[in-house]
Amino acid sequence: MKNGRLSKAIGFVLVLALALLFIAPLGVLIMNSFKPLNEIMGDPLAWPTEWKLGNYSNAWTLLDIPNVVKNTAILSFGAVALIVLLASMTAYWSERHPTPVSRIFGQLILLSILIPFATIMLPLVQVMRFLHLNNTLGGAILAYAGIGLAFAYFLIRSGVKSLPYELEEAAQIDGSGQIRLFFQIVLPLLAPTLFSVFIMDMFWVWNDFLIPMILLNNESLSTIQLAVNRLFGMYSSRWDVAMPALTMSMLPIIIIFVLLQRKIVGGVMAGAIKG
Amino acid sequence: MRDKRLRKTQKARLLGSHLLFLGPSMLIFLTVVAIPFAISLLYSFTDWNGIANEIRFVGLDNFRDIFSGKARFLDALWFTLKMTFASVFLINLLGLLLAVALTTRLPWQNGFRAAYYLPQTMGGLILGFIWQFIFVSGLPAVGDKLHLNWLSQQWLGTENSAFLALVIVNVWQNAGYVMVILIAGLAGISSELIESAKVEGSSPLHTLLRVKLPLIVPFIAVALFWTLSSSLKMFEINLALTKGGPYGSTTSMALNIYNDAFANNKYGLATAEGLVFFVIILAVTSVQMYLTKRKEEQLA
Repeated sequence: MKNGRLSKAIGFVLVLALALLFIAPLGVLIMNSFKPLNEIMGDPLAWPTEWKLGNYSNAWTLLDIPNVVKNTAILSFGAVALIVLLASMTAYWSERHPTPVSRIFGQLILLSILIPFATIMLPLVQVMRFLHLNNTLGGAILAYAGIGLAFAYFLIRSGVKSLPYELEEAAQIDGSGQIRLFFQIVLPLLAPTLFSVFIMDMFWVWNDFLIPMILLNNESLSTIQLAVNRLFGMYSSRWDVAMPALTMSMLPIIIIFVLLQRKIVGGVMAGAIKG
Repeated sequence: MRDKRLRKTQKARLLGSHLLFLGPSMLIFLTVVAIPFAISLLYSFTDWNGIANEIRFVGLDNFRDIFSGKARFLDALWFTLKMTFASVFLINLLGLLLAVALTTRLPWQNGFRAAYYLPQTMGGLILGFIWQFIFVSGLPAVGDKLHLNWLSQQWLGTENSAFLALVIVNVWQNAGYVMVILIAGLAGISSELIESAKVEGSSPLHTLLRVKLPLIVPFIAVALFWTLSSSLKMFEINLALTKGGPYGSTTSMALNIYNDAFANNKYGLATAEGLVFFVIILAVTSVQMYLTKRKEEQLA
């Protein structure tokens, strides 16, 4: 018993030390983001002599934070909403009304998980240009929907499989139409699965760089990731500009994560069980 | 007669529902994934530079350049495989250790889980830039303070240390994800089973290896699949941290394709490389899924 307690204490210390090591890079970043450049380069581990917000207001204007956050939010919410809707319609329908066509389609979707984005990115730009959807947020949302379908379909399909069929049958006898049945009965029952998909895809789209990079060349449509990348190109060793920019770009994610961490980690876990 | 008409309208209505439920996703999937994939098949047999109106078919020339080592693809492939092997091993080992430690009712358990998962919620590009500072200024400063010369080295300046730097960031970003997947697995094991193993005198290590691990093989399979494919596809961290350097020694497959397409204007070659890249990922992950499936069946 005593032995057990000792090993538990050692385990606790190790886990704590490693956790501190894990978040140390972020701590160093935030601490340095308040310092003038000579202090950053002089000793990156020292506390700022003065906590000033000048770096932040500077980076705020250079990044055009209100605009890039707006673009990133539209893109993320639009894309994830579309992915969740399309994937659940597809998964539900091909599970309940299987036909050869829906079976082949399902196989193709699953296979597409393995296609690296680099394989399709060049022609994708051309297709979007052909449809006059390049340099529009709508076009990028469609791109995310097509590419994100695979993972969402995979998770939601196992969610549909575990739904009790009787509920749908009862609703059908009542004479509910297919659409009402889907939206009023099936979707609410799938809510836990949809939440997992929503969380994971939200992080994916919010943080994604390559799709906006190739599809949104217009500076006014920049996402957070694009703006940070451009800033690094222009001010490559100006860490007093870069660090507050990086901190601000992480901030929305960190706040949401800290507020919802139990739900988020739980949602990812539930996703793993479904997979 | 009426019966027939009724059946006909029912059939038409079912077809309408098929279209309504599957049509939109089929259309988008075709536009965004299937058609671009088909086009990239076509371009891989050309020498198009991405801009000119003229497109010349060059047969298998691009693939010959890839496999003869004339293009830099083989170097990128070799680097990616080494980096993936090291990363996948370390990510899953650390993820497993964390998962085991954080299912033993330690205090602050949820806080720890969140701390380890945190890097996973951030974008690779931003993480790459943050770590650029850590490797260029942060670690050397720590090394100077503690008089540890190996910490003070130019991390991104030599091939071996740049390789190590990428592996470190990759492990740091993804260990938390594996941890969460494996915690989900470990939490599903019945406590009676663990108790009875304890009663029979099984040591904690023995219980872990002989009782717990075999039961979470399906979760390990998910974690392996995911870490394998994400390491093979590594791009953003690579771009932000080392830009493929020094001397191109840390160029991943995805970064190599990106460079060929957008910096070197070798669009045809880049699409051919993209296809070979797809086949490699397909092969590696298929082997992994086959092996873990076999393991699952052995244990079942």
